[in-house]
Amino acid sequence: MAGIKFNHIKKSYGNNALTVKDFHLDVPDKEFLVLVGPSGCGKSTTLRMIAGLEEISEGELFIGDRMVNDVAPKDRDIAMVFQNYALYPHMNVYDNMAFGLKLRKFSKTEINKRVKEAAKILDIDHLLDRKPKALSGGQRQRVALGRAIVREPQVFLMDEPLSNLDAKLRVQMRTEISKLHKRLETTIVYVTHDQTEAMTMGDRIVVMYDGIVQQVATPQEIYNYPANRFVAGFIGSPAMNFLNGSLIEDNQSLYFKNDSISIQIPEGKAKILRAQNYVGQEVIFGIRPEDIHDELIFLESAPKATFTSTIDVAENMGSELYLYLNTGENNITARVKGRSELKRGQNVKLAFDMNKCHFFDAKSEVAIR
Amino acid sequence: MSNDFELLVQKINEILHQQGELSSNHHSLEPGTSIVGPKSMITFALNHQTCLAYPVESVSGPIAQFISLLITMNEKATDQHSKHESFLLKAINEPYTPGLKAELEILGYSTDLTYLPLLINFDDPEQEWRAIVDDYFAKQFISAITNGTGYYLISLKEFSIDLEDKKAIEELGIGLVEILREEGFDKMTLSFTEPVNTIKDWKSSFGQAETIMRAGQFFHPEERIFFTWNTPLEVMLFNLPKEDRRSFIQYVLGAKENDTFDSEMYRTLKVFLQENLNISETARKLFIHRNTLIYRLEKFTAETGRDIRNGNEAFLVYLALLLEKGLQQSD
Ligand SMILES: Nc1ncnc2c1ncn2[C@@H]1O[C@H](COP(=O)(O)OP(=O)(O)OP(=O)(O)O)[C@@H](O)[C@H]1O
Ligand SMILES: [Mg+2]
Repeated sequence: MAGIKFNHIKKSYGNNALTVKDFHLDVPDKEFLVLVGPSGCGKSTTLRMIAGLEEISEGELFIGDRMVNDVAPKDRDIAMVFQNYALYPHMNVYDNMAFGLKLRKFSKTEINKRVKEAAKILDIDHLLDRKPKALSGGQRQRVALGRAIVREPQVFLMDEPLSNLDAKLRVQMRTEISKLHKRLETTIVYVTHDQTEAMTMGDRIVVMYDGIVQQVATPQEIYNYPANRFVAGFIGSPAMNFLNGSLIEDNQSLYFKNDSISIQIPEGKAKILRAQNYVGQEVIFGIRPEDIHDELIFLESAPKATFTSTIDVAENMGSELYLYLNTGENNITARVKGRSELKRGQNVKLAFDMNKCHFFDAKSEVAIR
Repeated sequence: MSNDFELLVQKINEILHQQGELSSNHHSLEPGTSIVGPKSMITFALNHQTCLAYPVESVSGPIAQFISLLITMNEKATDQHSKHESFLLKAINEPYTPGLKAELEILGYSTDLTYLPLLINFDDPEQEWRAIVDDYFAKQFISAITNGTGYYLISLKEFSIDLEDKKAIEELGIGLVEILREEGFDKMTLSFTEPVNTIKDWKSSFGQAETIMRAGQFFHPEERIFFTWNTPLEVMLFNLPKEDRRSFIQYVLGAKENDTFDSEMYRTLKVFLQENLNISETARKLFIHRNTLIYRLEKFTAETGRDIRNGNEAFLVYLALLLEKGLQQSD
């Protein structure tokens, strides 16, 4: 078992600009670390550097205590799992799992022991004689995991392993992989661009954008305290709402104002904004759809945090209703209790839960706190 | 019986078990290497034509027989293999003659089989990857390997893959790439062309495979695998003179031409076109918010004057960005 240490890792392809810019992080042993971010942000590149498939342009990488910059992939004691569930088409499940060990010249007895053990863990003992063709997508992915498990690596590297499965199976395999992690007690680095996967599986999440680590934290922390506007908008679905406006002091209270909205900021948050000289400045106001309410009690208790708007689209999700609102210059999404009377074209009054709102610097887009 | 003796038997059995690979050179046993310790040393030279073995001390009659069997098998296999290799190299390098068909039959292959051509190129001339490719296709192919390049004609019959099913062929290929990566190989490129029914087409198919490989690597160095049916645009653009590429980019992107390559916009447009200009679907596929996508498109339109919510314009811009992507990698 081993952790991973990234010491100011950088990567560029050829003469191009940096693809990964200063990745610096300690991953403790046994952590389930998720790398998440939009397409092209450098997730796979980072994973491939851990695997040794890609040279590190600058910085040092440690697996356990060993600096591995110049260690060949096969000597790094890692195992990889990809999305297409790589399997040898002609071999049965047993041989598929055994093959990597055969290449590494393990003894028959040892191979047998490991394959049987992994098959049991993955609940595929009854499939050992089957060929890949005769397996379902979920079963194939299990075998692919098995191929990695039998290697008993110090670190598992997974690059979007579930993205080829249908939605239902994906949810199921998510839980399975989490369980597997508990059972194997090994470090896992898991790449995905699906923020839900990241939130549900990771001990910690690394949000990347444009080759830069935006934030590293637990799912809860990332959700409640996003470090900047990008993270705030990327994590959470439907995404956080952002409004541009300025902070105006009025009669000893601080307000967030733009052409269509004026809301009072609670004293706790106002204090922070004042202390950092944001009064009179432009800022970005952020609020999650579930922190916008339409219940009467809420409207009455927060009279200075309300706004009225027309419903553009009302999407009924059963227990919830997503309202897409147009307030003139801003589009706002609200997630309220499912009810039938709210319809497209209608006017509604809503209130922000101001204790849950976020402010970001208008230029740097960094969270103000 | 000594422990050494058992080890020796086990080892030889192992090698016998893998007899088909004896002729290849991914075994790292060199002359002088001891498998079981100095007492009952046995030495091979598998990387060269002949397989030398001299038993010492504890090697008794049956083992000695094994070893001599091993030597002859290895010679035979080497012989057989090099015949196939030289035949394939001839078929893909020299003009077609009817004699080739007869030769193929003599080598034991059916002439009316459909083969899937695969060209593999490895940066590293070491051939350790061969064992993996051999086993992936269960040796159901004719192949020739020179330096880091492998020419394969895979007998598709054995894979119960429908020839029309391009997705299935793609999965077969991607599966191999992933397996190679799992084993630590990543500096390689693969290209698949349409399946061929007659030996007449072998030469042109590998020619095509080389073209799509070069064009593919030029425009998409991040990819490891290319298929003829997915790269017609890249092949066409690759053949365009550099000056024409530049002036096309200039024409389409105007002032934005001198900026660095906008990879985000490239990916966005690619998906946008794939999704028939559908904003919601594109946003979903890109895992971004609808509004973010609309903002991104509008910002680009404002900068270039190209209304990319219109299909024609979107395609022009996509082409220009693809060209720019290639130029940026090659500069
Ligand atoms: N071998 C390569 N040569 C040149 N550029 C590359 C290479 N591999 C990746 N890139 C580029 O580096 C950037 C990051 O790629 P990477 O594959 O790490 O992204 P990612 O975050 O995994 O994205 P995705 O979600 O699409 O898989 C991309 O712009 C990509 O085109
Ligand atoms: Mg990736």
